[in-house]
Amino acid sequence: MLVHRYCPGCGHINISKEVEKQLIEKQGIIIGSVGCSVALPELFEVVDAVSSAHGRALSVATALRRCLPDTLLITYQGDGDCCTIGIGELIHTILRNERIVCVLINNNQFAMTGFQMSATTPIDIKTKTTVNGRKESYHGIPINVKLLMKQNPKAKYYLSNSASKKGIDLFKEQLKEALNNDGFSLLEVMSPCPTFWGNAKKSYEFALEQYEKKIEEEEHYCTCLNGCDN
Amino acid sequence: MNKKFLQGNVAAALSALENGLKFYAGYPITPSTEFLEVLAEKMNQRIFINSFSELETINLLYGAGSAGVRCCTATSGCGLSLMREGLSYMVGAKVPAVIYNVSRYGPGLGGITPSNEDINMCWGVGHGQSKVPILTPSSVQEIADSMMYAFDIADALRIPVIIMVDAILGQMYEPVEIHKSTFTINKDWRVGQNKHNVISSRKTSIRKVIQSYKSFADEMEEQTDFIIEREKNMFSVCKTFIPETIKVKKDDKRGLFGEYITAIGTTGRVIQEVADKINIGYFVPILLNPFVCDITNVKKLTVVEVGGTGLYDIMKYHFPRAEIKSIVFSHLIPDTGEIIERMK
Repeated sequence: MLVHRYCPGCGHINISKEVEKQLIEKQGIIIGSVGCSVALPELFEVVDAVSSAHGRALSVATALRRCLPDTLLITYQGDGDCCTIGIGELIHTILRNERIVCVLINNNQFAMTGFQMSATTPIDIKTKTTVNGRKESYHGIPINVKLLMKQNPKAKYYLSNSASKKGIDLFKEQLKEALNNDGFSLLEVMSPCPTFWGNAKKSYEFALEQYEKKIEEEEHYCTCLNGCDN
Repeated sequence: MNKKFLQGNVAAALSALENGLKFYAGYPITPSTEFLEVLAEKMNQRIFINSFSELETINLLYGAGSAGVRCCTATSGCGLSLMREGLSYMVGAKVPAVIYNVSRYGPGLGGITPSNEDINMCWGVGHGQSKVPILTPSSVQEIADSMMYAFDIADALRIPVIIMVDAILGQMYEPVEIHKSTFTINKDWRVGQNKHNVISSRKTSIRKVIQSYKSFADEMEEQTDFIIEREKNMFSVCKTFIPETIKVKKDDKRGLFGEYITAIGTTGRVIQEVADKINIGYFVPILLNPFVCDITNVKKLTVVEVGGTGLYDIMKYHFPRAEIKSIVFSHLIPDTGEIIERMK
């Protein structure tokens, strides 16, 4: 990646680099979409790339998987893309358990369009479209991707963050494991957005806080759901 | 001669298979569903996807087209509306595909009776400059042949191609012979050829990118130039594949002042009878976009349509000096008597 066009301190940077490294090594195809990663096909200079419509990367990847059964396919999407407009594609890819690796960079908002609410924005958080904070009564509750993944026990879910070295190292390990999976793998990366979450320090703290919350949530859900093996 | 007695939708599906269809995605919608059902039986389930919506369908075609395989889908007006975003992306990213649209009545849910209303939608198929070739066959044999032409045109121009038939044509049975094209083209632009060069500069990279998004001014200029040039060449390329782009009977009896009647699809067959009965000329386009008609003496023109005025708009543009009358029938194909009555 010779140039990058993310904001300074963006949580995408380290994740993108690692994804590119794996793609080059394994001669894979990156399927980009619309959001902060819209310029990804240009950033990954030596990797075959397909840039899809907003939210539709997993559909494009599904067709590529059927037509190119032996090629590594990674979709690289944000939370607005994958969990908001592209939720239908995500659910059906989970159900079909397509052999695709989906890297979901979750910064809890639409950053490219300037800080609006996405499906993952936490309750009480203010954005430009939730000026008094996200309220359950008006905006609903944030989506839980892990729960969606549970519909197909064969699909693999991984959680990491790009706000700490530990989180990035965890992502690297998870990505390597996901590349060898037989079915669908979703790697959710809680990511800081220094441009819109106040400043760099605040955004990193926020991302880590959301990461911790997710882990707690998972434990909570696991005790609630019958038959959960986690 | 190996003629079979087939339904329009089935003939289209079999012609697609004969002409190298390697990936199908579709969502059931009346009156095009037979196309989907036939391919479900004939194709390997790996490359046949019963998608969850037309939104997914078109993006599946985008993916398959990016990998360089011949792909198509069948739909009807409501479904095509949902596909328009993806079609626009395919026009921009230069991804070939074939869309078989069995046009049905009305805006909204409308009905399942035949109509020609989707002309308006197919003409500019999505946002931005997204004009695509449109084929309008008017018999089951022409449907099968159009499918063959459409795949070749799509590959040659790197563009989605729409075949527009009405619900009657899609459902009717006629004797048909499935033909196979011998045209091949090297798709060196496709992704997944595993030819990455690890050390390269941006200009010399041999990697393949399928993308409609352009972030630099020079790229945008290049893209616009390509699209405009492609539109200019569209007719000449289509003509190399389609022997007869328009069926014409000239009205020579009045010399420079000819009287003509035109329509597409099933109505296009009815007006041929009308023209014979009242002794005027007719033309029935098989290639509706780009529409080229070399008749020079069109003075009076009657445009017969079912449901809308899309064809009338096209004719107004192509024959600015002619006296053009639009006859619109609601939701059923008219018979000759009805048309002659309305022409008075």
